[in-house]
Amino acid sequence: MPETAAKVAIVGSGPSGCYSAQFLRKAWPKAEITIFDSLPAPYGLVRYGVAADHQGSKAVTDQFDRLFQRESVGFAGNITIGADLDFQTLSRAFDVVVAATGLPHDRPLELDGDAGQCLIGAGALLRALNGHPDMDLPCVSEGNPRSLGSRIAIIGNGNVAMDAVRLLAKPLELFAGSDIDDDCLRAVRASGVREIAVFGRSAIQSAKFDLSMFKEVMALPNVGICFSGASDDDDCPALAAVRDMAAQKPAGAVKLHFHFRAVPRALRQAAKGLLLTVQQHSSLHEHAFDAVIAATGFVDKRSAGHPCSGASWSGRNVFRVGWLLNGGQGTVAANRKSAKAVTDAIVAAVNNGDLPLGAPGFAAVAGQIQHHLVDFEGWRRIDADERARCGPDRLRRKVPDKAAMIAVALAGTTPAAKKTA
Amino acid sequence: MSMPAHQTSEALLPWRNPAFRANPFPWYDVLRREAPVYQDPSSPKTYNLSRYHDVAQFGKHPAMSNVAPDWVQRGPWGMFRDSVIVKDPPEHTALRRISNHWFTPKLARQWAEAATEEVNRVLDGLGPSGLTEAFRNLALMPSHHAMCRALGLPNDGYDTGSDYMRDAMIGLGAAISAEEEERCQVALTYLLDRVDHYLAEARKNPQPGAVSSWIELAANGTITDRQLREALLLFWASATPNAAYLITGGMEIFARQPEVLELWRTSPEKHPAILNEIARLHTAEMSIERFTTAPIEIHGVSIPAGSHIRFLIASANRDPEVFHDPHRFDLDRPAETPPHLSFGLGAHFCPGTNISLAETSAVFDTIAARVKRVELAGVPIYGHDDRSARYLRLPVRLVM
Amino acid sequence: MTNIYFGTESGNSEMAADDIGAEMEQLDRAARIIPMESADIAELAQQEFVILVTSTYGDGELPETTQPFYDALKARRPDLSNLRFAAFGLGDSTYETYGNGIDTLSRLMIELGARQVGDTGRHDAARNEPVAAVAKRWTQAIVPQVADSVTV
Repeated sequence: MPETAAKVAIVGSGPSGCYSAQFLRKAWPKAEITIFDSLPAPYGLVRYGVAADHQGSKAVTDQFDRLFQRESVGFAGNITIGADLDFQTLSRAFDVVVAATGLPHDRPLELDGDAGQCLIGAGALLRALNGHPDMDLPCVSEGNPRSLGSRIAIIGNGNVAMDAVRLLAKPLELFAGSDIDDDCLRAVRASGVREIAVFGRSAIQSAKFDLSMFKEVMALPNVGICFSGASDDDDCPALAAVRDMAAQKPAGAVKLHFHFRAVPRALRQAAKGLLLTVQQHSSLHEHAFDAVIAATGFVDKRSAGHPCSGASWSGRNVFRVGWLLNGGQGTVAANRKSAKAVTDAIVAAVNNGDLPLGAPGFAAVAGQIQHHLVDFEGWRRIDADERARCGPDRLRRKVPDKAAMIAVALAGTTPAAKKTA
Repeated sequence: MSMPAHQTSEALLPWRNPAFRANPFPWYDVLRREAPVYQDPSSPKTYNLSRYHDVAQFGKHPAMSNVAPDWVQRGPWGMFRDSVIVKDPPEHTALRRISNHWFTPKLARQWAEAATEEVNRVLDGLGPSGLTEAFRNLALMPSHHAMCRALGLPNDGYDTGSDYMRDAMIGLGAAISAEEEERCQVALTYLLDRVDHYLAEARKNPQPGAVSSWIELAANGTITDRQLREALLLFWASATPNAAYLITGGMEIFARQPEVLELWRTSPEKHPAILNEIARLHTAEMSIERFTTAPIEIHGVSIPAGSHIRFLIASANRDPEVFHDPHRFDLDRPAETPPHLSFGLGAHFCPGTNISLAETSAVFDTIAARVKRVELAGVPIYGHDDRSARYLRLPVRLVM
Repeated sequence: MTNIYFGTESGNSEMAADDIGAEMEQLDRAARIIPMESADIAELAQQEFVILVTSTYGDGELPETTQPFYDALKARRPDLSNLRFAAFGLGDSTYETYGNGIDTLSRLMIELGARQVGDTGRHDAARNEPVAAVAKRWTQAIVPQVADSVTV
């Protein structure tokens, strides 16, 4: 039976990659499946994208753990395809390659003025607050992010924007039970956040946030709410919610102002801070902020043909899934559907002969990567270490340094004892 | 000369207004001052009494009956055809005696012990942060555990029962929607089904406890089968949330006013005063209803026979004429201050009063002995409707 | 043979259904796991005992695969008075509509005449207990309550 010999490589261990493994494992109980990730820790955006105070949303990792612990799926961490192993070699060694590498960068915003480079990406902010080893925020010194000041603007009002508002406004004591990177959090909030303005270009009824995320932010105990750019004609649950909250709590330690139908046009530097010019209420308005965060989606900024960019990988046996495929849309659940659709297509292709099997699989690349890959056991050591080194009010304390993570992963192992996938 | 009851086009009791449901006291203040006998324009056969003295006096009046006249549409609670809550003396007395027989001081002590067993177990299992949700873990589940022990029923959990009980209580509100009525119906169906299940199990495998003895009373005809089922539903489902409200109210007071917990520890003679103030400020069932069997006059208002009277207990408990600075937790009220009315009054006053107080007292003793300090660890979440008050969540940190 | 129906968005309810099924096997009861989108309502109505597993999605809504199941029950209104059911819900108490999915479904079942066995199981993603542990404990509490009155 051909499918018992299928050899599958999945690049990227975030939700799309892991769901793909899940569905393929169900279809092919005997296939060899290996998931590669450039980081020593798996789970991609579940670990570094989902906000630290949304542990419930991170609980999908329970499902994914089972892949590695019970379903004989291999984890090859600390392997960057395109650097540690070139893509050609990979795609020849495996029958199927699933590219689940996502989109690593924040989408840049086109703004007039001289301060475009001052924009901070919301994805970068969230990653930093999640302890990502490649911290990409403006810093005062090596590894120490600069404070974002007390007046902050966020452009965009999807779920990522709501995460940013919440992580910057929420009282510090309410982070109990989270795994936030405390050093980063304190650093970016060092000046004491006093106001956050959120600018969304759409009308409130088309805003991209989930209503539950919007309500969650407004329910914070220390915020005062106001809003503009919405009228009675925009009747929708979000309008009812913001009206209600604005009436109940117009004032608070942190002022949240939600601007709808607001299109940012220019960003300039001035003595009193960053000046953001916004087109709203039929004219241009200038607002002053200490920091401006862009939460307007994700892209891959690397040039076409960059060896490490999933966008440049192609071949008859290469299948893209998740954000790499759909341009950065959708949460965990949506990407499960994407994975189901793609894996259905893969299974169909094998069944009708379009995709031949017979490649050698992991054995063909093991020699090249064995000595620096981190397997699932290695990740478990990192996991245990993170849980052990945190304080009582934290779930874990991540190490935002790749070399340190690898050291923990490989501690107490000899080269001979390391397991291959 | 009779005066018309105060009528106004603006509702002085806006039952469905979320702000009213969350905090009715500002409205009660207006009512007591301007319309102590208030005929609700949307329900003109109903008279609402809000002043302490009126509630205390007329709540026990012989012309006040629990039996609803024909014009009353009872809705899903109409199923309670045969229980104590819809009977008057002498029939009520006979039925009441049955539960009184069980609710002895000895039972109260055993009940209190069972509750503290659970509380100790929760305290033993606290993590290093000392965080816990006080309503469910320190009040609702310990009370339920004790109730099951006393009834002789297995403790299969009460989370679902508690959720449905809430739906059922919402169905007693003054102005419920069609959806609320539907949910109340579903809830009572569920609760009665649980009761029938427990009765079937108890008949097969009798355990020591009240239920087995009541089953015998039904078997020998002292009570009907219907009365047995309805009594068990009242006890199994509705008693525990009320006891839990009292305990949780105390926990919130300990968190906000730590000197009260300290006082509980150092001054046992203050326990009754502390319990009374907690109960006065935490009235789980905020109103009770009766029907007049004869014409009656209150403050010059003539009320015909067959009228519906709503006694606003929670309002009475905060009447400034009786309780100076009524919203304040005050242990130094003058000795002649009349008692709070949270346990009701007259023949139908709560039969579990002593048990509830014994249990609450024992839980507080356990907390006082093992916990240095109670702190709020988040925003308390209340789930009041216009008739019942309840906690949904009281997040606390227990500093041991 | 007990049918376990699950509706999921993120796969967590399917995992819970798998765990419940596995525990039932441990307790010597046969179980079959059925995605709600493939459920046959007529077959459901003929059962004596079923288990329902679903999460809550968004602002208290039903997950994509539970909604059609719910809608079908609501539209066809089968007589479920011979059916007993147990309910297990997944939610995240960070959100105020925690657990609504399973409650909405359970209420409809009761309206249609079905009777609930045991407490509704609840896994709260915001607390760090794995689904497997919560599901196992719940299953162990439910199965004895069903054993005598119903052939499982």
